[in-house]
Amino acid sequence: MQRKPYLAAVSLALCFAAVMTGAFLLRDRSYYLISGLILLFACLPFAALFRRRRVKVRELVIVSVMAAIAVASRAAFYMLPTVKPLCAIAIITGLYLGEETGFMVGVLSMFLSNFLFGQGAWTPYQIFGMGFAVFVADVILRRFHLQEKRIAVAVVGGLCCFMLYGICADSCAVFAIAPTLEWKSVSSVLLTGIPFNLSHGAVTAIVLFFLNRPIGEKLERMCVKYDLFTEGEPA
Amino acid sequence: MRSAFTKSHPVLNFLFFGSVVAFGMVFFHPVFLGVSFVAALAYSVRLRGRGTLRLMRYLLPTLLVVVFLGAAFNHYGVTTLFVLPNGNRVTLEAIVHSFATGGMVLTVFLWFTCYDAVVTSDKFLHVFGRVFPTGALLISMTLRFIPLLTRRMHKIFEGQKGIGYSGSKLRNALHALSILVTWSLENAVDVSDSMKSRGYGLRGRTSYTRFLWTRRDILLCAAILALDALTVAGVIVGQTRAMYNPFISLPAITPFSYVLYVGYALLCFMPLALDLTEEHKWNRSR
Amino acid sequence: MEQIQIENLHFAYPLCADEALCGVDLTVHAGEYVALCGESGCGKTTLLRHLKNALTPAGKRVGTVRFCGTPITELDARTEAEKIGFVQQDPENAVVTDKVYHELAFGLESLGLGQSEMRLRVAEMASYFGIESWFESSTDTLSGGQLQLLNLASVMAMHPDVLLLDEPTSQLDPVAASDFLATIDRIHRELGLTVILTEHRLEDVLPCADRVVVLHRGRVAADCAPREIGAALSGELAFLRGSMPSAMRIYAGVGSSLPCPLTVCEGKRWLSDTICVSEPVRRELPDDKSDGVPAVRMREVFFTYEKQSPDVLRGLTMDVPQGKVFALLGGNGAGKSTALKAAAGLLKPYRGKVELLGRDVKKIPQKELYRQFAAVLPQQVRTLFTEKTVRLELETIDRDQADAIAERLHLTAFLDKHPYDVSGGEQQRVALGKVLLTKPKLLFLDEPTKGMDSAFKESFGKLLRELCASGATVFMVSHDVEFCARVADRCAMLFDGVLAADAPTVPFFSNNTFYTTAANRIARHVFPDAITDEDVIALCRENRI
Repeated sequence: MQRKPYLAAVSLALCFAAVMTGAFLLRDRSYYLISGLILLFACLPFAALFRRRRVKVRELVIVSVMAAIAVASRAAFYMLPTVKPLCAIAIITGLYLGEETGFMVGVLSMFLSNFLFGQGAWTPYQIFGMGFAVFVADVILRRFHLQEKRIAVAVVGGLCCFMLYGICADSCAVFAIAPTLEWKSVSSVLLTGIPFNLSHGAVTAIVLFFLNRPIGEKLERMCVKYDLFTEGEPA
Repeated sequence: MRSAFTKSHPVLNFLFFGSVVAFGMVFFHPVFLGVSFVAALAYSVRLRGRGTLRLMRYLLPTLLVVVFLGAAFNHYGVTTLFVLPNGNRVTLEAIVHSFATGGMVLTVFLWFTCYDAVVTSDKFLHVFGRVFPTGALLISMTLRFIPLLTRRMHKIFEGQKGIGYSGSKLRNALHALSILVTWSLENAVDVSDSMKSRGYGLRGRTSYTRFLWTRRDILLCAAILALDALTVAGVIVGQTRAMYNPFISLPAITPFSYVLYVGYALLCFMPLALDLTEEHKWNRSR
Repeated sequence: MEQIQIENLHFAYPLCADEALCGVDLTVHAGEYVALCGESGCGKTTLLRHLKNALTPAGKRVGTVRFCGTPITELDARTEAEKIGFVQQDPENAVVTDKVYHELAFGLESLGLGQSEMRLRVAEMASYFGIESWFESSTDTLSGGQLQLLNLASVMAMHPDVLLLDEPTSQLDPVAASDFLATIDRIHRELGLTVILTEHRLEDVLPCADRVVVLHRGRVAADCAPREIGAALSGELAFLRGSMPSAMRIYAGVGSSLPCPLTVCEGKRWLSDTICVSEPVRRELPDDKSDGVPAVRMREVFFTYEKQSPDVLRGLTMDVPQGKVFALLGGNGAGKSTALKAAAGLLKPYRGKVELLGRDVKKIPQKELYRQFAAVLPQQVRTLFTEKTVRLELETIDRDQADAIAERLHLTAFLDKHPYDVSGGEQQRVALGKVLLTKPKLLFLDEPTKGMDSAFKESFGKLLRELCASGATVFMVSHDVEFCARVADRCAMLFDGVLAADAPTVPFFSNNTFYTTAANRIARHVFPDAITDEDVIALCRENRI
């Protein structure tokens, strides 16, 4: 499940291609239709991963459990409804179990969160945005071996969440509301999203700051105890 | 409520929603927009009743805001209605265009409310499972864990409170989340044992389904595909185009236009018609 | 035919000097019902897991296990999955999908069966196990008993020849547990399946089992028919006495040349043949007047979880005397746990008054309430574990007292282990240690004996008595009638949101006809006030023929 970042990279490239096609070729405003395509491409790593080789049963369960925790974590913060630690949990998972796993947890939890709380044309954008943000944050942090530096993790994770997820999720509103794809109207829609995205990013940073090590240690313990997410082929 | 469409085969549901949402996202032509909007609203009200009406209370003002913003910031168009104090023109074209944009968003939104009501998780998993069996299983498992973990979360809050752990709201929540992670990860081993002992991982996994094809499902699928083809033909000949900038221009109305309108209406109203026919038959049979 | 043959099996866990299994020899014939018993840590779960390759733990292993003549390690994965079914302890972890029908079909999907074959098998299972009415439900809505039944049905759908069950009822309440074991018995009788089951609650198992295999420190200590165990209980198998049915314990305690009774009904008959009394022997009951302020005083407490749903507590009025062990009993959904949480201040009733030691619970600040005042041991003790080692768990509460409490609860051997790496009973003790370190005057226990084995139950009971002797008050909620009869000073029964009975322990049980201990049911026609096995044994000795 690890060390195969090219799959996610291909998926991301296809998503971008779809967005670009929508923006420049189908100029008579079919941007919306592009959503469907994005959803399709975001699923690609899933399909390829599970088709390519057998994932250990325990790895599969851990992905599922982490995604469920990411969604259920809303319940933890029921007293602080603005706090949604989904992104942070997906990033932490990716830090210790590989960016592809993080990507999958992000995509899966965002999808199910939409499934439970109502879907719409924004669903693909949010899914893609979440997978993208988590993946990029994890790649950066793992590349520079910053997993255990809580400040670095909080800053990078928070920024990725704020910038990448924010822009991707808001582009749905851009396509829907901005009357024309001109910089002025696009930026006005994006600007209205900033306060919300900023708070989302800040929350992600805070949760990462406090939970990165506690959860990370537990994930590491599982990996060591049961020999999971290692590079060798499964037994 | 008896809903014939809800009880149809999931593939039929997906085909229908795929069609109307895709068309709904690209059509700007007022007739097509109107037909789709009315159909979506009617079906949503039938499925969700008061829920949809309550939703409309929020959506309609939003639509007006979008129209207002569109009209205030866009100054293209040839028909000036009046001039704002700052010298900007408010044009008929910009208003109509904003209306169409807002209407489109609203229509797609309404179709999604219908989708939520019709396509339950097992229907989704049936279709998705055909393509990605493992992915579908992963989703099914996660759907099982979410309520379980949510309940555990509340137990953890209670347990910690009962032995005197108290901090700020944020600290409490983070603390509880950390406990939940340990608990659930350790349980993951038992979960995978249960899967392994029932043969998970053997070659050639199949997937069980409760859904069976009926003749009606097949006929309806064929009908949807035919109507899709008709509508796409309309797109190709340019009958669905609409321009609002710089002036409003719609394609000329020909006899084929009427065929297209009727065909699109048949498509959009299909589930509602199906439901009403079945309900009528059922009432008569009593 | 010999279906399972175990020859000289030795096994040691990694990094463990002692062998968990040392030289086990066992043969099981097709269609036998074997109960595997022994104390915690005797190796019964380890042995059971060796009968299924997919679940065999990692470690050093010598000896062979054969299934129908083939060494089990050479059995191909498909045959093994199909022919050897395994039901594990906690059904919450065993059910993996979100819908009941999907769970039923899970194993069939793994086997790669076709649609029509799956449909048939799922239909068969659903009707055999009576699942039809909740066939379409989400697994999340099921009770523990239903979950375990679903788990069993899902295994049975694969048509196994051998069914292995690892303490399947330890997480269930007694009613669900009896139902589940009755289903196992039915499967065994009607389908002729081989059943191998480990269990520490043997009341419902022994009457059905063909054979009992007792493991002791990794060795087979006895392998015989259930009745023969009875004779050995007073001798070499004395360590097993705690987990045997009351009838057998009384038989072993009194001693007799008649065959050993297994059930209450047989016990009653045996008792009539053994003793001679002309009229019921009553006993002088100690006066139970408690004075002073009650530890918990509840007056007309009303509570509901949601505005629309019916009340769980409907005007509950109750006094818990100070310095006593008070047990609140009742069936499922009677509101026991809710009553406990309301008393402990975890839930806020919408009407009525709760006082702890004379103070209104609403007016005690959080910080004070759960520090040196009240403490709650929850049903799921895992909700309390936050640290990396047992030692840290204890030290987060009170650094100075941690060692003392570890000593007292026998935790010293595993202080440096991760709390999840110790066994269930040990986890219970660690949690109890954490709770006791807060030095509560009032200890609230929610279902404390769930999953405990009899040996630990006994020492746990002693501990509670000691706590009371030192002035603390214990309020527990439990299904475990036998434990309450042994330990509590006063019992009450909650039904339909109010108390149905409230009395000192002995009159409480001797007044009930059904909801009482097995010992009392066996002996009530002669010794109406005898509620524990020891009472009955003592009285029997006095009144022997």
